[in-house]
Amino acid sequence: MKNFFDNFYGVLFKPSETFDKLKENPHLIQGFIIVVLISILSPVLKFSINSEQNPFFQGFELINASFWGLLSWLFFASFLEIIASIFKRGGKTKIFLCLSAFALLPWIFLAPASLFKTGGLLFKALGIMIGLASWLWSTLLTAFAIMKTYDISAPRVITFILIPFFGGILGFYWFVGFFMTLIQIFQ
Amino acid sequence: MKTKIISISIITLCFLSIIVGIINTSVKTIEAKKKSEQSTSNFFKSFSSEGDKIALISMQGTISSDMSSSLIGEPDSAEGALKALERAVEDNSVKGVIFRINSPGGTVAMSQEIYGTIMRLREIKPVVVSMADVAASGGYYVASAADRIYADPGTLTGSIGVIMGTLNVQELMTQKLGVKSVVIKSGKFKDTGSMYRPMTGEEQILLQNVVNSAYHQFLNAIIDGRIKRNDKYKIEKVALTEQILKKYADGRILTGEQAKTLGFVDKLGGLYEAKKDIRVMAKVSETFPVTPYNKPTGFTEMLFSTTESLIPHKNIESYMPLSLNYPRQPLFMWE
Repeated sequence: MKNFFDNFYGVLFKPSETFDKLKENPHLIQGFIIVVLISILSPVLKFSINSEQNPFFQGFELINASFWGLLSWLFFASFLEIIASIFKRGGKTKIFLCLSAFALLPWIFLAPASLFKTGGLLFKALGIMIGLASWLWSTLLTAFAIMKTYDISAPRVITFILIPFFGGILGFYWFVGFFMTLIQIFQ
Repeated sequence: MKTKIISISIITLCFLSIIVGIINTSVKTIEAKKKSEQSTSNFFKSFSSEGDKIALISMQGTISSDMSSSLIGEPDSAEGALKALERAVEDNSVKGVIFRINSPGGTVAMSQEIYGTIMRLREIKPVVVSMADVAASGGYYVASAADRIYADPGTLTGSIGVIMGTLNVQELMTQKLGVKSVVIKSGKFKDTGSMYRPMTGEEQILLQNVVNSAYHQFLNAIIDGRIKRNDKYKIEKVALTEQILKKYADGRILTGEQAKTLGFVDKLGGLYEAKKDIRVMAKVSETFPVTPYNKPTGFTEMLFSTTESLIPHKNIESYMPLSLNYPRQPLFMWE
């Protein structure tokens, strides 16, 4: 866990500098731990000591959340790697895995934000605002991680994200449109 | 060093937030458990809203045990109201009941079931009936079981009596359509009131006796529920005498104002007065909550409310005499 606290501080407050450092020396183990901790945060925040739920199931819930968190992390990185390969910028999976994991760090602020749920409507609204700010922060850091990993500019990173998005919509219409036509002809 | 301290502080803050969050959730779970254990029996736990309350139960339309109407989204049908009243008997969080009636009456047995439940209910908690547009015949029958009856001056009530109707379509069937009915029966009265032939004198006497019997049940119910009532509540009530009852129990309708003068109703006023007085009767504060009690909570309620607004209630049948919906049945109904 060497330099973990420096990286932690750096990603939150000096992301450009820290991502450059992490790019040179990616810490996959630290990334792995961050993804696991962030994934189990949501079920942990719903826990209750005297819950009627069996502790075994609570444990299972944590393992389940970690598993899906890790899977999403790997899928996201692989997916971007494939797109990057199309633009001949691939081969940086390890770096992106590390950077994208660190980009998730603002999610930890959901823990203090969740305390507002026990207050009145105003406090709940404040909690939701903090939650949204954490999400926005994390999204910007992820975009920044893509920029740093694949050496692309800010406008390009938007294209980078939007292409698969619109590609997906197009693919969906292509698929559905074809089958709808087929059904209309043969029904 | 500075970066380490800040990082550790943030992580510690988040960790402490998680611990405090878990404790908060646990405390909330314990409080919710305690509340629900205190207020309801196990079976009805999931149907009741939390906390003590005055239950506001509504009953709209014809009184009958028509299950289908309550299933597609009319929790304020007679069937739904009966269920709510039964729940209120069991539910310790209900400190009193306002029963809001808007009904021209209905079938005898269903009216009697509701009446019986209100009588049981009033043994343990105060019950006030608030009449809306119409609370006639069977509507008045069930109202007479309450501790107090409130009506607006223009409410239509009364219509104490029994009605039974049938059609005679013999001429239409035989002469116009050429259809003849063939009936094989085990006894001479088995098809009494059949619409395919005129009624015999003997059958008329038989049905009149049935109607008379139901009528006496009606009168006795009002005597037990209203004339013999002996409650301790210090809220205004008007005495009804047997003499007046028998004089006006000829099927006539009365306005709320007339009913009040004669003693069929205790007070002129709407839901506001009913709420105000039941709080006094239940010995609770002036701001004690009055909660609608017909509908189950949560998803079912949402579903019911949606279907209620989507499915139109009025159809051509609503403009026809109601007794035609229940042929050959004695009814506590105002036509």
